[in-house]
Amino acid sequence: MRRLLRRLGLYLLAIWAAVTINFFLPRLAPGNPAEAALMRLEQHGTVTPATLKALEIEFGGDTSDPLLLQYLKYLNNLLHGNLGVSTTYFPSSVGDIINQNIRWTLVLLSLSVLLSFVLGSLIGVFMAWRRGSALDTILSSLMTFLYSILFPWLALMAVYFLGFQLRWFPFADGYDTTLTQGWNLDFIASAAYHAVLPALTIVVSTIAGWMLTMRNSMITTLSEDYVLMARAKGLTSRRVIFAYAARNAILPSVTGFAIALGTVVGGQLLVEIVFNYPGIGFSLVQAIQGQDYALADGILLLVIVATVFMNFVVDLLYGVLDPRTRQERSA
Amino acid sequence: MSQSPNVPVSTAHVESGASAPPAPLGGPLLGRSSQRERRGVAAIAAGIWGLITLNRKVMSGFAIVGFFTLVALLGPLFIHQNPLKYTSTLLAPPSSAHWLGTNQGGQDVFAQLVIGTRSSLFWAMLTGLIVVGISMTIGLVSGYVGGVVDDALSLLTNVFLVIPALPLAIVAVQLFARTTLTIVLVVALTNWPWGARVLRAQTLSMRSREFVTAARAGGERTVRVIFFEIFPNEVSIVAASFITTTIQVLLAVAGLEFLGFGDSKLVSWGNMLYGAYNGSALFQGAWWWFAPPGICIALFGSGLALLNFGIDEIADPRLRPVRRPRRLPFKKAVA
Amino acid sequence: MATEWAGRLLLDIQHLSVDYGVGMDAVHAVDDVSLSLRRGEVLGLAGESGSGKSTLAYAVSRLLRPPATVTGGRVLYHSRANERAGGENVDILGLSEGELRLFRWDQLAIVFQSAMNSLNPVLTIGAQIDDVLRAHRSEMTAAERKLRAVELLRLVGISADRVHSFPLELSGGMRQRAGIAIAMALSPDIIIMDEPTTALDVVVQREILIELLRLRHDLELSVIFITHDLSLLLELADTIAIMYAGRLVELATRRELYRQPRHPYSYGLINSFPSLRGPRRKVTGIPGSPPDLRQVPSGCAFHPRCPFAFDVCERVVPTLMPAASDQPQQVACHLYDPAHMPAPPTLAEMAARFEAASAGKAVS
Repeated sequence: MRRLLRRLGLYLLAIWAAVTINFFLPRLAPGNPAEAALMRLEQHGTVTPATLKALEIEFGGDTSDPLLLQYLKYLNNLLHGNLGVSTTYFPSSVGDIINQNIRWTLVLLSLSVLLSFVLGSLIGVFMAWRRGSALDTILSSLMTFLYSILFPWLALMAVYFLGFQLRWFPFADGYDTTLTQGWNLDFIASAAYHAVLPALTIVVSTIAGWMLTMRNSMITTLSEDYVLMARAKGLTSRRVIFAYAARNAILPSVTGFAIALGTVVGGQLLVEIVFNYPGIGFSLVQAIQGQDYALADGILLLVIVATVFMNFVVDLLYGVLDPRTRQERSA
Repeated sequence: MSQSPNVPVSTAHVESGASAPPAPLGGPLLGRSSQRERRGVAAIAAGIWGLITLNRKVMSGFAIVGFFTLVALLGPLFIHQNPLKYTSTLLAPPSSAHWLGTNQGGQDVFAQLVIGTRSSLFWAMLTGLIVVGISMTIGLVSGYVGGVVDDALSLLTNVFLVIPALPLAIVAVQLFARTTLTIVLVVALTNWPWGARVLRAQTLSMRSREFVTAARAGGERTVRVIFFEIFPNEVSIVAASFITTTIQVLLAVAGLEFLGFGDSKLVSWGNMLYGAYNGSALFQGAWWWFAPPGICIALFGSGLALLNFGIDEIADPRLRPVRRPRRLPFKKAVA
Repeated sequence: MATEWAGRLLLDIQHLSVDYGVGMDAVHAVDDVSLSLRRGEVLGLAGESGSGKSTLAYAVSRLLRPPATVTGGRVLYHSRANERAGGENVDILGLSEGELRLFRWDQLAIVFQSAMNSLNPVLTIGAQIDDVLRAHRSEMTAAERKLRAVELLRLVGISADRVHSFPLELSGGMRQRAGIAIAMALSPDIIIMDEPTTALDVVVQREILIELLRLRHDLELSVIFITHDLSLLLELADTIAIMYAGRLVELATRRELYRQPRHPYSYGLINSFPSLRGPRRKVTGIPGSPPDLRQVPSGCAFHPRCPFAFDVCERVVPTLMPAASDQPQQVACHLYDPAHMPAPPTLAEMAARFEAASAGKAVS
């Protein structure tokens, strides 16, 4: 317990440090933020000085304040759950924008990552069990190749062949834009249909890593004495593979998986660019380039918290999965 | 960044390190053993050849990497036309004049590919070295010294683990010049934590071994213990980490170039993809412009990955391919 | 305890051979070994590392991993069911996968050398007993299984609450006992114990052996006990088989072996440790070291180290035969072959020869 609290403390510290860095990072980019904001605001109509002042206070304080003061005010706002107002999508608050876009990211990506992990690990288990067979050899070579493919390249090839040439799947947008959003069947079906190609690409490009890790881990585990004993006990192959071998072999992958989930929140920017998919990755880039600090900070914060949170979850999970870690390892 | 997370594929080292020390790959070549007495380059060359041919995977991986390295070193000598030169044959499919056709600006794709090999390989290796240097130092020190130093360095590792590469890249590019070096720095800063973690875990387990206690009891200074006692045992992990990292950074750098963060005057695989994407190569059917750079990246990466798996197999005999005796009545891999 | 089955032949190992690798480079880990086990008997298998005793056990239970292969022989198992039905005896080596799975643990169980490594670290002890019950006794309910698990643990002296413990939470001795408990789960006919007490301290070792003897007495268990510690077998086993370089060199009851070890190697082993009582004597040990199985000496594998070696020993491999016409004790040594040697050496002669050999060795 004490150990967990200590880890939690360190993680919180890490969050704070990362938040600080991410606060200062966009602001280091050259350019006058006030002017940029002003320009954007004026696109929506004339702006009175009063509005401008009010806005400045809204989204992070007077930009003429010294940076340190801005930082403190920012922290203060954070603790009150106020992420500020976006200048790009004025007058929507950062919270709203994130909320709107993140569902796409989350659903598509978490499902893809989960699918990739589960499928990859299962295939890895199978490959290790049937080691040396033709299937194993072929798959191993294939995976080695897939492991090194550049994602956007694969995505574009998929778009070209499956979408453009063969017209099997749509390759742009998250859904058919002529439909209304909402919980209706048409929309959901359309969303699912549009998700196929991006999901497929993500899975194909990430599955190799899981497969190979699991295969290696499984091969090592299969030579352990407890697997031999499990066989000696006359247990079914299924029980031996899963409860004895895979259960132990999967431990190295768990860390990687949790971290992968954490990065999901950051949004697969490349996915969004190539497939024109709605999500927060693209918003993030826009925000930074347009000096929309509030939005940028908001998204970055989310990314950081999600990753650190997942790391923490991994620690917990590991403790549950592997009783050996529960004992304090005296270094 | 937006590429798949750096799943540590070489788990063999971490696993086997816990129970038995991994066969130090650098063993025969590092100074400490009696083989220091062997004279000459010939002995070293023989040693390296022996290592390479030890394993089929290492051989094929080495062949691929070697091939690309040769192209990188010597290829440009054979390319007589300027890859950036615009010609009037726009978007031409492969022909005898242009082996891989031309792109939107009439530039010869094959020439670009060959020239690009040099910069892509160079930057990937360089970044890999930087990353390994950082992660090694931090991992070793953190694992060995422990205590407050470990806590602090772990904190540092966690923080950098969490910094997203893309925003960092955007900012960096706006702050500094739009050069490849900038990208390299960004990629290096965001990729070192993974290796540092692995190495730290390994060092932690090594530290409690008897040979370390013996060294310390003998009065060796900390720095010497870290770099001359513990490190030689981790060489194979570091080698594997270097290779994995190189693959990751190759993809990361190419990814950033693809997004347009690279130096557009530089010819590299990533930049070729950027050009192809912006020139809507695929939608115009110019697969010869788009496919080759991607294939090269994948092939070179595969070569590196094969090297890695080969090293894994050498370090951990359990992973070696099982040669089945012909008369075996029971067929399963596990009796 | 005498039942109708007591003393009946249970396991008949006939000319078993196991090689590592194939062809020219094959290593003969087990070379033409024949043994038998009766119900209620404790058979001790002794020898140094590399003598093939563990390989033999694994071969019998079909747990060999490549590159090890069985290259000859049969292992006949006389099950009660078969005998009642008047059916043929089963060759374990010929069982199909399905039959083998049913056979395993139900008739033949194994206690591995290192319980730490042979117990699944992520499952509780209770789960690992439950496993086996579920796989083989599908008619039992969950409650019955739980009861049985507790009963088994109590049988080996582990408290009931340990059912929920993970292997790493138990001490070394407890882990080994847990291994025995799991082996007993289906009340098998045979238990093979592969150096079960080697890694434990002597006190715990003693406790476990006492448990074992008690179980054997109460449950009519047959045990194949593998160890390098001959002194242990002299107390524990009914019959002792001594292996050297993959071959069986002596087979005797413990009394016979204690009174007069016939094979020079057996003599060397027994006299490598002093006895608590009896006259003082020089402890000699055996000169030399066990052979590399890739290069087994020609003829009798022991001849380079044997103080009695003579010309035949280098040329001809001795076969296992009775030590004397009136003795059931079997030995594979030319000293006892009337064709080569008129009279075998007496104990005194053996002692003298060994002492001379060790003295000579000390000088040179």
